[in-house]
Amino acid sequence: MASSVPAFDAVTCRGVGKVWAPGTPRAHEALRDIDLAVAPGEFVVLLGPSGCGKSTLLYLIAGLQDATMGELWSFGGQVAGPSPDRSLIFQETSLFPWLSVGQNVAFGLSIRGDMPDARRAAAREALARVGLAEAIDKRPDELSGGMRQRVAVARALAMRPKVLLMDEPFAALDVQTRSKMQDFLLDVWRASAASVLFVTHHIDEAVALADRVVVFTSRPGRIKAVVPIDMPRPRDPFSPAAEALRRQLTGLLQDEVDRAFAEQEALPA
Amino acid sequence: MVQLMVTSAASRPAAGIAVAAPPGPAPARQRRVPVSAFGVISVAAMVLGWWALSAGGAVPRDLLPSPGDVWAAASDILRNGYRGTTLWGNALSTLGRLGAGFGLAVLAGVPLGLWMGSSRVTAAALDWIIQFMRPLPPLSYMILLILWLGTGNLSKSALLFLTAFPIVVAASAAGVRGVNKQRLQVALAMGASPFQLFRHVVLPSAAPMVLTGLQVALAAAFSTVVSAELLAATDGLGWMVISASSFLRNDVIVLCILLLGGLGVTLAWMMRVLDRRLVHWRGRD
Amino acid sequence: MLRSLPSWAITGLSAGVLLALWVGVTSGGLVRDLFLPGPLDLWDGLTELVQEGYKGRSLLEHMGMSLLRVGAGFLTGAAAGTLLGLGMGFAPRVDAAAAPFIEFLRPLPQLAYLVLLIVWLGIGETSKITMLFLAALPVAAVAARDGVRNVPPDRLRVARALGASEWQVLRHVVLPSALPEVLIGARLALGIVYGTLIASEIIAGSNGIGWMIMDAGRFLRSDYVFAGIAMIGLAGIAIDRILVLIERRVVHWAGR
Repeated sequence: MASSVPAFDAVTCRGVGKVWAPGTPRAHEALRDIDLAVAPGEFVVLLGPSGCGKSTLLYLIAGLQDATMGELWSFGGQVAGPSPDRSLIFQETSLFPWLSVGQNVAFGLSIRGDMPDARRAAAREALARVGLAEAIDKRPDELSGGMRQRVAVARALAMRPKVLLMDEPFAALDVQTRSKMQDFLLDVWRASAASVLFVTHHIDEAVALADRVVVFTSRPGRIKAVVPIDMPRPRDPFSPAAEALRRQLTGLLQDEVDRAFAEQEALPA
Repeated sequence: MVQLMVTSAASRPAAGIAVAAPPGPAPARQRRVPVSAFGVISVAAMVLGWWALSAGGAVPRDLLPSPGDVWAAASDILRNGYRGTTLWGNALSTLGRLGAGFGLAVLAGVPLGLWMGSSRVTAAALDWIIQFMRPLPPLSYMILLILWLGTGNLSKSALLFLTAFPIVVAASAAGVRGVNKQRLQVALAMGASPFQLFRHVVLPSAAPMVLTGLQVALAAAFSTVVSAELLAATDGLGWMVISASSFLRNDVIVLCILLLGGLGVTLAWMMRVLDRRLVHWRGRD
Repeated sequence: MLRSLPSWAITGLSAGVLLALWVGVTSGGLVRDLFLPGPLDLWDGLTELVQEGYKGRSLLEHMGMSLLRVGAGFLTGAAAGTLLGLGMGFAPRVDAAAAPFIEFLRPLPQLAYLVLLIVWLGIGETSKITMLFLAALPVAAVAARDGVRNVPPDRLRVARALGASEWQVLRHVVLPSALPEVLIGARLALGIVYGTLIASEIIAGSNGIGWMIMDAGRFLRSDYVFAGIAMIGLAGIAIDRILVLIERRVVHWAGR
């Protein structure tokens, strides 16, 4: 086992599986046999139908949950809990409404015990990177949805993470804002040199963002296909290549969506 | 087409229900009398009607004292006191009991509620007791408290404590259970210790609920303190009411009712101010 | 160790501990049964109450008298309050005119004005039911007003765009939309009415379950007091459950 410690991968999953509430009548399997390696600086999109366990995988990598099977590695160390190296980004509602924008961004630093001056400087810098330096003393509810989402990104960046774990962060935004946020995220990603694992169920989002798309099956989530995208950025969503890619991903997802849908429809009966 | 219909329908001057729609420009006819004037008019009408009924002699004065009688009683009591007590003294006794019982309920109830909200074991062990206490009218166990603790201030403060306590506990526990899971996970992923998680995420998340609970609990305790004083006390505004009734001093009863109403409104207002100060983010989630 | 147990077992355990404490304290003679009757004494007291009644009336009669008062005061007060509140929600003028009284009446301890009502209406049923009416009214009014105010504007626009008349909007959109809040207000009002009634029977009653507790307390029959409190608590929970059931039936769409 120690013979092949994946020292250079940002994230490695080997035979990872997760069962919720094992040994109880409510037990159900969320993930099975996940093998995945993410290179430093790589942008990986996890694509799958709702409830397929892709978010669960994110929590496992974040160290918030323990895998029932297999092992997870990050930069040569086994994942045994949360680490500032791996930052989670949720929807903008995950901001703390009782803190100012600057305090929100500095939250992780204050948890770590940094001095107030250092915290504020780091918050200002992180906010500058998302173009919101002047909003540092505002309250989250004074900002628009897109701006709040940028604050949530800045909060993660302030920890200088090596891996950004994003759980459908743009799901609540309107289409125009979402597309702007995708461009913005690519800029931030390029500047930070961090790896990104990005969960979504939007095919367009996957095509716009990913170096590689990992397509999941419906429950229990397994890796159905890995689709590399080597189109140069910025990408034209209407190019023939993007069109072909969309068709390929749609085909891969269709069966899974149908299956997941049939399962959901069957539940109330 | 549909768009057109919507705009035309929305701009139609609807007499009443337009209130529920976003405020638009009111027709000029309505603007002549500002809406708030109706409040002034109705209160004035009430006082005037009261004065006409009582001072006019339509209702016997000993049944319904006139505004003047109540005013006279107020200035008399302020100068000479009421049966050896002062108005302020009585108000302070009532407020003191309220403060003791309610304050204790806050000090004990908020921590317990927060604990019950965070720990399944504690909730399972204690929630049934809280759920049983909550619907019990406090005065129903007043007689037991008198039996156990005597007729003094102790039994009354205990009564107020027991009135407010279950409300405070239930609200605090509900506040913790309603914490946004993503916020918890963000803090956990940043390496927050259990204490930091509680201090920086759980506590502020629960605060709006806790403060709502405190407002409800204070209102219930205020109502109960007056009832308790009606039953067994030698001072307090509730005692004044019951004493005045046995001496047929309706002017004093009305005075006390006005005072108690004013006190209730003031307490509720103070709690709202506190609420705005402490949880400025309420409703902006 | 406790963590591995299911919640119901922990609840059972804690109830068991409390019961054991109760038995231990009372049978060990630590506490005189004047202060705290043991479980068996309480059972005897309860069966005695059920079989023989209290002071010439059966337990059911006492309970029934109390519930009749609650019903009369609650139904009239909640109905009047709801109507007033709907009016306040529709018409700002009605709101402005009524709000000062509602806001004054709401935090006012009900028993304070009971005394005045007794002077005016006598010590019989009328004064008590009037007090309960006044206790339920402001709570129901505020709930109904907020219910009308919180109707989503989009729903009104859709209805008007579909050509509904003002009356139809009121009947088919505003009322159903406000109903969940109206019913929540009714539940709140019922709780307050119930608690107020018990308190009023304790202070100025000659029958009813609240009076029974007070009277038994005067004669140091703490077994009757405990039995009465248990009855009051159980009846309170039962009434609340019934309202919840009605709520679910009537506003099955609430929260969706």
